[in-house]
Amino acid sequence: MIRLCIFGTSHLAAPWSAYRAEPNAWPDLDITFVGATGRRLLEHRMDGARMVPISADLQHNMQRMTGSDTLDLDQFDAFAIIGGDVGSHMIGYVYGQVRWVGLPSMAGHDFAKPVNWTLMSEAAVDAVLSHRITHSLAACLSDILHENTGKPTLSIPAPRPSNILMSMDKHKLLAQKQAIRRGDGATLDAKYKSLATHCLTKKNARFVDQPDYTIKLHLLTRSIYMEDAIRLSVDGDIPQPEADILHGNLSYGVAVLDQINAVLTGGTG
Amino acid sequence: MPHPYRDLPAKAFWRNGILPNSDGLLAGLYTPKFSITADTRVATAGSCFAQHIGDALRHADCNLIMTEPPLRRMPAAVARAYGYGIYGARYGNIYTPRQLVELLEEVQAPAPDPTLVWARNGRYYDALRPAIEPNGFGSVQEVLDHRKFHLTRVSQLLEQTDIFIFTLGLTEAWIDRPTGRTLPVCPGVIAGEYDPARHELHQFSHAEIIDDLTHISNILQQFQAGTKLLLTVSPVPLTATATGQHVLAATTEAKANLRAAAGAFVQGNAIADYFPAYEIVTSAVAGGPWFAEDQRNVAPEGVARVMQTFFAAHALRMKAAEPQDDAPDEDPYCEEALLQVFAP
Repeated sequence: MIRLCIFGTSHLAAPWSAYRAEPNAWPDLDITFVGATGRRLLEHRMDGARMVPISADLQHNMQRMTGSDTLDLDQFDAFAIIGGDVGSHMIGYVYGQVRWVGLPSMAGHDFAKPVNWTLMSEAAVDAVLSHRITHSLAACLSDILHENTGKPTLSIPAPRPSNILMSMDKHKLLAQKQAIRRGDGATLDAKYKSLATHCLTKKNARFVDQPDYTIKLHLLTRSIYMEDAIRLSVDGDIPQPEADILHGNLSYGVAVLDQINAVLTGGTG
Repeated sequence: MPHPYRDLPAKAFWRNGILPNSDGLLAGLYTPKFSITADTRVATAGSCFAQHIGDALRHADCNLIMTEPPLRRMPAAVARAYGYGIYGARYGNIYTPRQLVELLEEVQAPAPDPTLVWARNGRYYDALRPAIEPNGFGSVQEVLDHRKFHLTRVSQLLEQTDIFIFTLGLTEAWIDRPTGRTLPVCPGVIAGEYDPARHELHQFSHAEIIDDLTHISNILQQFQAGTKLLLTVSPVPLTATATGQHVLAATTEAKANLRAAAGAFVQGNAIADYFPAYEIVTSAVAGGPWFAEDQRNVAPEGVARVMQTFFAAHALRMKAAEPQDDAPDEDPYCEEALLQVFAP
């Protein structure tokens, strides 16, 4: 039995609800969940290996989710961090503003032509993304977990947005739709995975990308894994707004827990 | 008839002129010919010291324009390392007026030249702005693609600039004989290879500087009629000189030439002005000299004093601080400073 603590931001809701629905579905895992939105998981101090919240929000969440207002990290064999600012939205953030010469859509482009994006070197793009990943909540928390326990930590990204995005005209991640349409999706996805793996390894976390079978067109999640998603709330199961295309549902949560189980128990995940 | 000194203002007399006002500034040291307001579109360029001016203006309530800006929420250190957010476009430091003339001419007739691409360790650098990519580009073609893009963005910048602030830095430069282009740094320092048959040291004279400033002003008018040119002289001494002189003597000569040429150029010129940053940093009566321990970089207090003078004269105020992902490097990036590594 592996004693696992899963930390997470809003994306924790999917595996948390999946585990609560079927707690015996993963007999090799004994899971504790601790969630908080934004960067509130960093609002703590360490007392030895004990995580002590210094904000009322984190203390409240910890109390409601674990039954204790502090968390003894020594009681766990492994950790996972879900979301924590790591996800393919990083690629959307860059692609919404920037292109680089190696992108398929740039073949034959006339760079003297005025455009509404900036041409950047791939090295600069990598530097920007690496900085974001290295300073993400997941990376910062992973550092803390490693420093205080030395136990393995998995970084599970936020899921890619739903493929519903392809039929939307307005969304903050519309750049990902444009990337797919221009044939840049696979290149962007490879870059995201490669940089996340590299940067998070340096921060003592193993990047485990979302299960392949949940992914569509490289940058999106099959909508069946996002419909009727539940919002992270310590006070009850609140459905995400209908327009939400960024959070996984209970099926997605099952997929994530299956994947974590496989990775930690030596399966193929 | 009273003699001409009789009714001059206090600033015209040393005894009164050097008395600081309540803010510690020299009253009347800078009386702008033209104003900068919140709507004035300002662009900057020049030698390392120009970075300080750009940094300060970015935080002021004026319209500092950039047509090759950093990404939104781009980490400041990454942006700076790759030459973003430093100047109006990503042209890097422009040390001599001739460099700027040539850039403006190239913007008018873009034809990136593959012979102006430098190599180092399998990476490729734009010889006209070699420091903007710390690890170079992947191919010569990529350098040329980026240069095309850059020239288009510089053109867009110039088409909307009301005041172009240019900081004069050096008179000593290396010329690439086959192309005639003035290089920002000697080949071999960042990348490329020095070839005495190809690369020639040139010391720009007072007359050449005035000619170049005239060209700059004329070309700016072609992009947007009425664009004003505000000159400063960088107080930062030369890192090294290849002229055979002592570096102090070479610095003095260079700064004297630049200062004198700037003064001569703006004299009676309604669309050109001079801002005495050089005087503020180097003069004891302005509270200086304001240099850091290395006696080369300008101390933060000196930069603050310079910009305080500038802001006071233009009645500019600082904007509320914007959140940053991280703090920028303290020292401006200076290709010329790389010469220091070759000091014995």
